[in-house]
Amino acid sequence: MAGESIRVGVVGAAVPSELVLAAGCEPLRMSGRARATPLVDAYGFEELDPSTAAVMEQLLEPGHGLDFVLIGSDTHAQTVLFRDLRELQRVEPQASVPPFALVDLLHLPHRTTSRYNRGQLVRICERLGSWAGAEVTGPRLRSAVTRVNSTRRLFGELARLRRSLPARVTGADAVRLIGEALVCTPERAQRRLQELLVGEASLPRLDGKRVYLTGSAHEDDSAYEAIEARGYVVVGEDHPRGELAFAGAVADTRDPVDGLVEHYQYAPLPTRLSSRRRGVLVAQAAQAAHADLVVCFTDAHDPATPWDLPAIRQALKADGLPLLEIGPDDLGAL
Amino acid sequence: MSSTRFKGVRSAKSLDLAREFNLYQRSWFAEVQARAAAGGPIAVVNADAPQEIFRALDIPYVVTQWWSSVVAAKQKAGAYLGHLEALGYPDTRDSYTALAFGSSLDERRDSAPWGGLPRPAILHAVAGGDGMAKLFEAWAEHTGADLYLIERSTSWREDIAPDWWAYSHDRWDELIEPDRLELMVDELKGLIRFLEQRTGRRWDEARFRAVLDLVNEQEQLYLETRDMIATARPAPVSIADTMPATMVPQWHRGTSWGRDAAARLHDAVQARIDDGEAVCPEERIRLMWLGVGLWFNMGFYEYFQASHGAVFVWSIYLGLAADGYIRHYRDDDDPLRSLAARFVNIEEELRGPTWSSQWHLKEALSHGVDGIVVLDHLAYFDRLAFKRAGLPVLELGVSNVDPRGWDDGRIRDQVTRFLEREVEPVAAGRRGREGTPRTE
Repeated sequence: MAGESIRVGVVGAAVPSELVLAAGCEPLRMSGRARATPLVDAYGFEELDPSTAAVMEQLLEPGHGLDFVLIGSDTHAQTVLFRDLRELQRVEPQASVPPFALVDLLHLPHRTTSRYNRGQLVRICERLGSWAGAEVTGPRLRSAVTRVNSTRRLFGELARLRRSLPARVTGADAVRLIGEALVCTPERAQRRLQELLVGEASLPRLDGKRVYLTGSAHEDDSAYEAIEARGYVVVGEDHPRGELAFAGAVADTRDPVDGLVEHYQYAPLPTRLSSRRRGVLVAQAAQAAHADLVVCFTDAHDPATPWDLPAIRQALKADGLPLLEIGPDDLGAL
Repeated sequence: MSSTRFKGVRSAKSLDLAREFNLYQRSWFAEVQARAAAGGPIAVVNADAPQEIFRALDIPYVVTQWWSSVVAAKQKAGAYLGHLEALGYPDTRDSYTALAFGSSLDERRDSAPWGGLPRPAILHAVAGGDGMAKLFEAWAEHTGADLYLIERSTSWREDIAPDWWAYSHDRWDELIEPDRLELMVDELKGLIRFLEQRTGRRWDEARFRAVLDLVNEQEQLYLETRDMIATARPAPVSIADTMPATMVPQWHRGTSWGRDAAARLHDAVQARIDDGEAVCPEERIRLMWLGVGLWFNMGFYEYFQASHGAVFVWSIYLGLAADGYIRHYRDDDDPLRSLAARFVNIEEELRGPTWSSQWHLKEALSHGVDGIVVLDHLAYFDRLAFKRAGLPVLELGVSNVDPRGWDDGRIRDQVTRFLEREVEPVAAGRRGREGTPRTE
């Protein structure tokens, strides 16, 4: 496809990759995996959590290979990243930083928010069109929605394998597959998933205690490895780089922008969900995954989960599900 | 003294106004409590929320951060944050707001500051950050209040006018992205409808315009007061005076009392300048305080007046009142747009890298400041702006309402070293340029 070589870095889960694909570009979700951040540290930016600092470090380093970047507003730190980059380019321009734009999608459940979000998506379509030199038309958007929905359907199948009794895919394998799909074309992700699903009968039967993981976001599989190395199997999670990354499907609407507005406004981002809703969703998802226990992992830089914890505790207690609350230092002592 | 047991020091104010305003605030608060006791709806709202809507509908409201400042000044922060911890909520996040939530959980009214916060019927906040909406949700759940949240959008402009204050009073629609302004107007319409239905109050557009006009008058007086303090040498008052004398009437904006209180501050400062009265006649160093007020230890702002002639001349309270609130509108405008314009960018003005750093620098330079003391930590672009201007900075890294982390001896030593090693040379240069007699 013409323009496929234009690489657009995506920061955050609520930036529709469909828009990037419709512009004929390649969306690459940027990783906030822990890394040394000497360039960021030299500035001493406040309010950047480690994962957002890791993203910024990549943008400050030459050789990131990105032509453009879309920054979402799933978390306060992401909006800070945008504002810091904007000011940095104003007062001390860095040649390594590619052109970037903020996708300010909001999440209160109101029509006022939907109208605002619609304006955001239209604006980003125009921006992508100018970057890529290709108009983002309705048919191209519809095609992109179809392509990503196909991936979403296959990830639904993967979730089924995780929820089955016994589970057939480890949590670590699942988040690695999701991580790969966030940085490749939909078709490549689909091929990878189809290979796995075709061999479903030969997948291992994982009989360990079943864990549903909630709490802070995970940028890699390290927490999963730590949990599963102790004989557990992680059968589901509610963070944006887990099962939720491809959950649901974008509705087929007369104007495809409307379906995208609906899908991303109501994306169950832990930072934007009400605490009560999050508690209910965690309990429902854990039950659906036949979890034996729920592990809530909270890192020190997560401002949202500590407020959600009482609601999560209450919802799980009502369902009789045990909850284990741990921090980063507790993984080794599981 | 153990830092966990630190008891703050009250400031010795140069103006009687703050004391008088505080008395008014007490009688106003007693009235709010009486209205709540009689079954009237009381709202608790955040400082960055459009309180003018509540004013126009005559719904009494308490501003979260003001109430937290009372709680902190009464040395109750530790106990109230402990209430949150006991329920499993975080006691260290968003503490300026969480403290008011914690106070709602105090059932012992007899020992609560000012008789305690009335049980709110309505909670209202802008859903900013990652925890604020959740904090308010928990607060509503524990008090039975109805919660109304509105969205906070973020400026997406790729080039942003650094000198926002030059536009904000009359050309605000040039500053704000139209979609963001429209969203806030829509949010305000929703809030009005919600409040009408919840309280049975009827919206009166003429009253709303009168409220907005009073606000603009009040803030214009603050602007003139700010400018007087900026140019007067030595300073007629310190922020120990202006913070409480501005903060309390700010929560009454839209009333004639609020406007008149601003006029009285204006006239009192003018009179002190005319009479040659100074908060520190031997003033040698002028300081900027960056951050919200250190409510549990207001005496801090006077620690270094006698020893170093160091006067805190600037805080956000008067500065933001002067530059951040005035929004003029024409008779044929929808006045709701001007109110929306006051709040769409308020977070950007206070904390956005471009707007806050350039504004802080502008204010430091216009006030002849020699050094900056920061409550918590300074953002990179503020540091860069001050560095380029040759202004030294000290970051205290403390909370303004939670005294548990305050080590008075260490902080006194830290500030003393900062003043003597870094600020004094800058101040000497300024005094030389200004022709102020050297007193050393």
